[in-house]
Amino acid sequence: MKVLLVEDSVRLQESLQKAFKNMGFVVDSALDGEEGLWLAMNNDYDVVVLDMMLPKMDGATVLKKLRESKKTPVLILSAKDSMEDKVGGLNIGADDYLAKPFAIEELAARINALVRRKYSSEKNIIKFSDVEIDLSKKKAFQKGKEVDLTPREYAVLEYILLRRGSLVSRTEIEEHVYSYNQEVMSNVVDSVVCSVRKKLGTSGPLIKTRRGFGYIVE
Amino acid sequence: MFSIRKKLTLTLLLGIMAIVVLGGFHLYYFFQKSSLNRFDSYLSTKVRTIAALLEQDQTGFNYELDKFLPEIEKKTDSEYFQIWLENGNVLRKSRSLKKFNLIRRTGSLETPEFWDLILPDGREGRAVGIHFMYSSDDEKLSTVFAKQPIEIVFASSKIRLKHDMQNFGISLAIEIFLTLLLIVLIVPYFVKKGVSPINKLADSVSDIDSKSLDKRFSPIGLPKELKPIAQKLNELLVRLEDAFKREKRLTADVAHELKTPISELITLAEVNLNWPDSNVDNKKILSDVLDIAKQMQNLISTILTQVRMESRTQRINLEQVDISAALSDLVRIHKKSAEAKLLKLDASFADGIKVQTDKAMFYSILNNLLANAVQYCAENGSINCSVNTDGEIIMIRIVNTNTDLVRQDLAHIFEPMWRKSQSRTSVNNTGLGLTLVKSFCELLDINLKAEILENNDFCVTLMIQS
Repeated sequence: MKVLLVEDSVRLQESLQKAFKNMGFVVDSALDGEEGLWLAMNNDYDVVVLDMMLPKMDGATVLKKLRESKKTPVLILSAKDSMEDKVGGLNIGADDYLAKPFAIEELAARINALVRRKYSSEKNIIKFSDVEIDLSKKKAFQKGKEVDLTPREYAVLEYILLRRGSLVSRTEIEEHVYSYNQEVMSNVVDSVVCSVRKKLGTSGPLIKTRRGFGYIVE
Repeated sequence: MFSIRKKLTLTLLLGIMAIVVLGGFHLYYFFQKSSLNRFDSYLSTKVRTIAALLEQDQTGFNYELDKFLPEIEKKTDSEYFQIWLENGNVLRKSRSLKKFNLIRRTGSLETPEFWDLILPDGREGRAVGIHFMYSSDDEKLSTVFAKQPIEIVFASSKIRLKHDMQNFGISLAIEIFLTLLLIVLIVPYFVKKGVSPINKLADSVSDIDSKSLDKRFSPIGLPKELKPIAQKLNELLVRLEDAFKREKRLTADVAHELKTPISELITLAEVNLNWPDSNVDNKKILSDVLDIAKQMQNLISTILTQVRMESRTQRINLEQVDISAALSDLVRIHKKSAEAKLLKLDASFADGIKVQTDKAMFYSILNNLLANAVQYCAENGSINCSVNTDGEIIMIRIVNTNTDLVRQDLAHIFEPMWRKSQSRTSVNNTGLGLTLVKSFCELLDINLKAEILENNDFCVTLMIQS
């Protein structure tokens, strides 16, 4: 899952980045509204966490401009906690609103909920064949036993399973699994998929390769 | 509880009732006196008539009383008279007196003597007595008979007078009772109607609470005595509403400003507790915690200072302050941060310019203005600080290259927590610096002016009376 964090407090941004990465999210971040809008417009994020009081361009403007062309789920994270602020934020297109100060678990739960909604999944547990993944714990299980996946492997499996039935290109996987600043080797996705296949064994769900297009789970 | 309406009603009722009752007594007394006067007048007429009917001829005194005053000798309700000669011999008395005699008590013809008495038949009566010198009208006889002193007393029953007085008294008492009843009914109604504007105003005042401070009292329809009250209340409401709004905004802003550092602190602690990183030095985490705590302390102490300023509890310690020395110190301090941002900070002022003021507050004013100029100066811009004297006025000007302030912003720059940009990229920026500057200037009687110059530079001028 790839999250864009637009927050002008450097310390808060650093802490949240660390938390998100440890929770298995891929995080891009921006310190002002203009940069945040540019990243949101030019990348496919699963969720955008957006502060409202931002330099250069305030959060409300970022959200309005984003909504002109994209439906990326947006969670507003703001120190403004009045009912008017919350209603106002939701009315201009936010999908959720969380007031500061907040608990990281609640923020993560709300991000997961937005991701589930995006991929039309009702529960935090996604089952396919004998494999299930827990979106909240960021863990994969096979026949009830935890599969030892690296965060990257888990992220690839999670994204492919969330998009099950649809063809997922390597570029899409790269965009969702690697942050904006990371340089991705040309065959790194293939090697991660190969590793996942190995760890799940032959009894696991079949991640089929469509040569020239990408991967699909059916 | 004390009520104007009740007190007014009670006072008016008692007052009017007392007037009515006293008026009734006065009327009764006047009627009694008038009736007695009329009765006395009747008695006088009668006694004079008796005197006039007295005639003397050679056979003695003759009377034609039966002919002219037949009512005197009536069998019932009879009246009485008795005539004496000077020696006390009774010349004549009415038959109704029988064996009784009237009291011999007289006054002159002009001022007859009146008194109350019990008549021989036992009725209450009143008598009149006169004495006069009798002389015959006949000229011939008058030369024959000498003048003789005659005394006449006439008495009549007072029963009729008494009945009239009683009837009048009863009628008057009924009238007074009905009047009092009417007063009891009418006075409270008119008092209620009279004080209704006060009640209306009081109800309107009672309806006002912290949520309806925008309400105003209309002077239309109010009596002229209440118009100044309504006007003063409206003025008070305006001030109260402003104060409430300011208080509410400041509280919300302060809460908002504290939430970000608190969030930073909580998140920092949570993240490092949940995912401790052996590669990160604890010193870095503790340093962050310290910075956040200092930021909050800075904000809180600034707020407390502002609160003290607003509540006028800040003490002023006047002393001779060297403006040149103060500016030199502060320019040196801020030059470092200006140079770090590639800004040019110039200062031009003569030595030894002094003013009588509070040193701590004055330093705070200059420090805040210079910090503000450095923080909001445009990239690669310049800051200029100058001091000029014009007669008794000392002018300190701090000018910086403007970034994005426009003239409309000048009305807000001294408001608490106002920022052109909504961000809070500086941890040292509490949003209260310029508000404090304004409060200090007001307290120290320093004229403060912010403007955007023709070249678009932002300029703050302090004008101090030397």
